[in-house]
Amino acid sequence: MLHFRRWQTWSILVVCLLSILLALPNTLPANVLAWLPAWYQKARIHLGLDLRGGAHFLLEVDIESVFRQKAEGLIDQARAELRKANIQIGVARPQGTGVIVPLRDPADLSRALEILRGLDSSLQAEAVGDREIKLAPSEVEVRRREQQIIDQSIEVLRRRVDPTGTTEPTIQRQGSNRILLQVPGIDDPQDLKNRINKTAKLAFHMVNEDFQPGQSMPSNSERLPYVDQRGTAENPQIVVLRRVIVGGEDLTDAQATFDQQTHRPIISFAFTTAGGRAFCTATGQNVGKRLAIVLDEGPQYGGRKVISAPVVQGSICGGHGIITGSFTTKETNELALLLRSGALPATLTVIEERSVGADLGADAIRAGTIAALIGAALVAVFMIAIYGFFGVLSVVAVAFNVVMIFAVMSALQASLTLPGIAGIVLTIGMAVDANVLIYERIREEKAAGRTALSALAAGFERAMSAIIDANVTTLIAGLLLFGFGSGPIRGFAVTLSVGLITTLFTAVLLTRLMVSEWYRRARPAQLNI
Amino acid sequence: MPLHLIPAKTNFDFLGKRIPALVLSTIINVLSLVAVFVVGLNFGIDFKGGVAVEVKAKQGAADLAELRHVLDGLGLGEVTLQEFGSGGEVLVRVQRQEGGPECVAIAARLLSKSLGPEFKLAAASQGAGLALTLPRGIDDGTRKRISDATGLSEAQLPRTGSGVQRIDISADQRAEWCQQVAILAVKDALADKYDFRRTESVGPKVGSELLQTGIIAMLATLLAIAAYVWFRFEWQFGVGALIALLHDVVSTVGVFVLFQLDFSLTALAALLTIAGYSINDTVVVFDRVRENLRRYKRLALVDILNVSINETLSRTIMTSSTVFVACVALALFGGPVLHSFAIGMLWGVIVGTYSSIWIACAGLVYMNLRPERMRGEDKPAKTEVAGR
Repeated sequence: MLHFRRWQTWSILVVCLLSILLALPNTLPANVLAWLPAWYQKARIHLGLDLRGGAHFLLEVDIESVFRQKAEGLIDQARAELRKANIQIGVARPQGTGVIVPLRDPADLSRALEILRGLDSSLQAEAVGDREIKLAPSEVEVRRREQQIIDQSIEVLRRRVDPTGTTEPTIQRQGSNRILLQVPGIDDPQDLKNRINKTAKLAFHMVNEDFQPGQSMPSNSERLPYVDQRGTAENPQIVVLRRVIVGGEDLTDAQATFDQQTHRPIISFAFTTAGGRAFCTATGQNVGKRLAIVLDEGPQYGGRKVISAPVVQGSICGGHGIITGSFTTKETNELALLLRSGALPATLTVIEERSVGADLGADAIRAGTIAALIGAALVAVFMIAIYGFFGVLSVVAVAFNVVMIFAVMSALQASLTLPGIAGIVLTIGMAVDANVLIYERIREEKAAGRTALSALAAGFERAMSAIIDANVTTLIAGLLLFGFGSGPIRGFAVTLSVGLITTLFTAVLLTRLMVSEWYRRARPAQLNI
Repeated sequence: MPLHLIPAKTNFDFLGKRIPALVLSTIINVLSLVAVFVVGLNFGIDFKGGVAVEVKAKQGAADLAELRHVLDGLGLGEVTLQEFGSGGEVLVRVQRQEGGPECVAIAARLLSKSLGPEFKLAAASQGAGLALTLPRGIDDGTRKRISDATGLSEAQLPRTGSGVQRIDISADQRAEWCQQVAILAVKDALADKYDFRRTESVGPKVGSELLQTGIIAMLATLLAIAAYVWFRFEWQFGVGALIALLHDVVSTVGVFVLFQLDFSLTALAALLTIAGYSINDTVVVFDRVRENLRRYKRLALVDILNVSINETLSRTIMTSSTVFVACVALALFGGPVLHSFAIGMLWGVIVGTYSSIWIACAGLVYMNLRPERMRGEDKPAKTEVAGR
């Protein structure tokens, strides 16, 4: 049992070496790291918000109110259509995502149903009782809109939280109507909260095509930065007329879609009635000129900027229009999102907030490190006192265990949190358990009169089932903790679970290898354990 | 020569004391359950909702009496203060805000203080909405300042107009907003003398969800572990392990009630870890029981259990000791966040070790694990067999 084939020995050594290499970037000083390749520098453990400082928000998106607003629009639409067919309706009321339309005369029911069903393919109409009709978006449509609202909120959040693209925020959907937002390294969560819910403004201006470079700026125009989505704008600045043709509040929708004839990606958009009328006049007068779409997200984002400047091909009337160009699908998606992202589609409410100042994080790292070192030292003293030379071997194994935990976490790009450090301390305490099981078994076998070699072999062999069962059961607790936990607790579950797996390697394979090598050289007649 | 913590060969009659042990455990567990329902756990904001702000005095030590006076005057309901460390660090906890009229009054005070007395905020006459009084037309700058002062988002504020403006929010949104008002009120009151190091706020909705998920996680863990043990051993072992785990969890909860330790997400993690540790210990003993059941075909079950416990005793004590010292290090040096976790774990190590012997193994005695040998139960343990 003690014998290792050559390839086995080498595999174990290679794994150890790899672990050291993977864990190394976490401990190297910055000036040494700078010499190493970038990918290697980056392969480090991320510190969790509680250690690094930063803010964690759980935001609830008020999707209901969006549906409520849409429902009000539905009522008007339904009333108008039914009136055309001479069907009188009572006071309609919103219900859930749709509306209930009561008919004055039950005899109209089937006719009304037919009309309402023909209204829009994304709508469903069904009779409720004998004189009421429920008109609501279909299940698929509700899901689609929810997804759209969440996506749009996330996009707006990203632009507001991370305008420079440097803060590495985590923004993800959680459940049906929530967004998790984590921003490392910010000191003032209040400021962030204010930024999240502020309003951005979108406006359509005409480009001043008469302006010549070198000319002084006419009073009716202004120079704005041009931030093309593709980053290919020839001129990073553009001169636009100050007069707003249509404001973003009049833009009701913008979608990425495809041209019916050419099948090229385009963006379609829709205005309110008033907005449509104004847009119709302005485009009619300015065919061949460029239309500037200006986004204003407040001074901290560089103020107003032009996000797109398509050429007007003809007068655009009827409240609908399209923007064509040599876009890719990805680009039309992004631009449509931008057009919609003038404002958040729904109010975001902070329902959970956790923020930690950077200096507190530094304190936590210090406390955690001290606790870990003292804990490790105490365990080491204990093991050496009880098992002598074998204790030293187990201390080596546990040290490797910690190195491996760091290596695995670096490779997984997992976050280390304060409870995560607790997990490592606990792993140090529990990792020696496998060694204890083996050593105690060796002592027993030795007491039963076995020779040194046979006691060693039997010790390792017979302790195995207990080690595996014990670690798997604890691993179950660790994995469930990971599944149900959130934030820092997950960090604990990660280090605990990783630690249990690495324990199997270090206690069973590495310790066995060390014992076997030692035995091969020392050939002791008596085991001093 | 290495030390031996206990003699290499012991022969304690552990299960001979199983009746008093079971009685003791039953009493402790019943008391724990009663305490949970009568006294109640000291839920942290994770489960109850509320606000926690960790502050540090800008100079010298924190004046707790003054802090209490200032914070009690805010009208935020129950405020608890907990001092820790030596550098004037205090954890301020404010109870969950229900979104009542008091909170609107506090927000109104903050608004007037920041923008002037002509700005007013009141609850709307109907529903959960708010009525904002603007002395002049609103502009972007004012909107931002109102938002900074009251925690209302700019999007919720009117875009134009002056006079009394209605802000529509639902009752739920108002309750969540009131949490933000509480944070603003605490920060406003303490900003002169204290730095804010950590802010946590859990709204009413999330709090109850976290508790629910926590309970589900707990039950799922216990059942999954029991199922694994059943799969690897016999069903009796699974049941024994489950009872032992329940025993550990319930009595640890009892300890949290007894010392009124902060029961937070971290404490829940401690509970799950205790379950993991306890089963670790139980499985090691079970593993030996299984081995000895095969080896000693004629021995009474109680004797086999006793022999197994004795054989694994030095390992049990050794591992418990190493985990215990690691947790002591955490409790002493790990800082305030890990404190309740570490205390819980210290108890867990003791109770987990105890339950492996007197609950899990004692449970096996009563579950017909080896019915044909049950008659031998009352005989004293045979020492000569253990020495074989």
